[in-house]
Amino acid sequence: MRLSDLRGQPLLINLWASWCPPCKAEMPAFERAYRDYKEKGFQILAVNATNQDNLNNAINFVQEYKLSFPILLDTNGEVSRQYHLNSLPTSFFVDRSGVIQQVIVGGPMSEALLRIRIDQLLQEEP
Amino acid sequence: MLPIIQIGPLALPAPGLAIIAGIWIGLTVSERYARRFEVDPNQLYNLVFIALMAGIISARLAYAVRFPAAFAASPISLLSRDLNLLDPWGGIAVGGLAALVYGQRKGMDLWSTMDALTPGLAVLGVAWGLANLASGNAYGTPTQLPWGIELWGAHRHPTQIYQTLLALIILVVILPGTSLIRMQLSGGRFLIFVALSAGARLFLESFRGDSVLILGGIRLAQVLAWLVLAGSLWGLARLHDRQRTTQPAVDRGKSAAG
Repeated sequence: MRLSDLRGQPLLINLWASWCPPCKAEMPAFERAYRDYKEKGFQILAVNATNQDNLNNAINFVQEYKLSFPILLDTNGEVSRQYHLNSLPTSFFVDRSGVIQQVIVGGPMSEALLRIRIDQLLQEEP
Repeated sequence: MLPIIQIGPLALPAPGLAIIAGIWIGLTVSERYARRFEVDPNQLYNLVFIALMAGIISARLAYAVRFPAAFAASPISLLSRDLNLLDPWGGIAVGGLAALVYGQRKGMDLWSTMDALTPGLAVLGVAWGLANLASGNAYGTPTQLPWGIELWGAHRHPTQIYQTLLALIILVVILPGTSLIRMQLSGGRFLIFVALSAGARLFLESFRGDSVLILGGIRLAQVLAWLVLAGSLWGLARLHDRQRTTQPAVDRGKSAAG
């Protein structure tokens, strides 16, 4: 998947791992928000830091939380390096132009903040 | 940058911890020196506690009022420990008002109380710098200088370290124990702290890479810092005049008594 293919859509890029408690805590809110906003063009890319996780555990995690948004695997840590990952989870709100508008390091992110930021990104002119 | 301290299953946000530690240590320092300013340490503690509680609750409520739909979808977020869900100006306004009401009801002198709070505010300034260092906020412009730090994909001025060092210098200057300030009248120590902090911000802002710009390139924080600096210097000049006019009267009184 290429980010440039999603240009024009507001995004949440979330780096996570199955062993990370705040990742577990915030995923249900991500799923609810995704269901509410996907028709308006909002997209979530959940990137599993597979290089510091176990693939089977990651798969079980996705099934347990019934996640319907795309799950990507960072098997060699390249995405983590490119996004200067310091802590899990880390979330990036990306606007329609592909510019990162806010970075939330750590978690769990509150559902209200998630919805506020999504609304703000959607309100921006395409 | 150390945004999260991971202790087993606990993920502790380092910036928040730095601020909480700053409030705690700052309040302890202020209580220790309170009697020098003729302020009851217990009343000072209560005043800060009430201001903090009122400030935090109103900051959250003010934020919720701005975004009612998001909080209606997730009412539990009202109780979230997420610091992003706070309206700082709402918190400062209500917290300040609560402190003012408490102080008036207890008969606390405003300027003496501000002087007593000043060491604590200075400690909090140091904690704020450390919190920014942990979070990566308030980052600097790119630089080639050897003491630059790698942050957000560039070699940058370590503005958070500059901020912490300047706050430490201000703390040393205003601490009553160091006797670097000889201002006798109430409010002097507080105004000197405000003036020094505004001067530090003027300097720091020149190296910041996240400044809000107005009128085609003027840094908003520097404009505000100039105004605060001017206001505090004006206040200090007035205090100095009052000190000069009251001192001879005191001296005359001493001579007459002698």
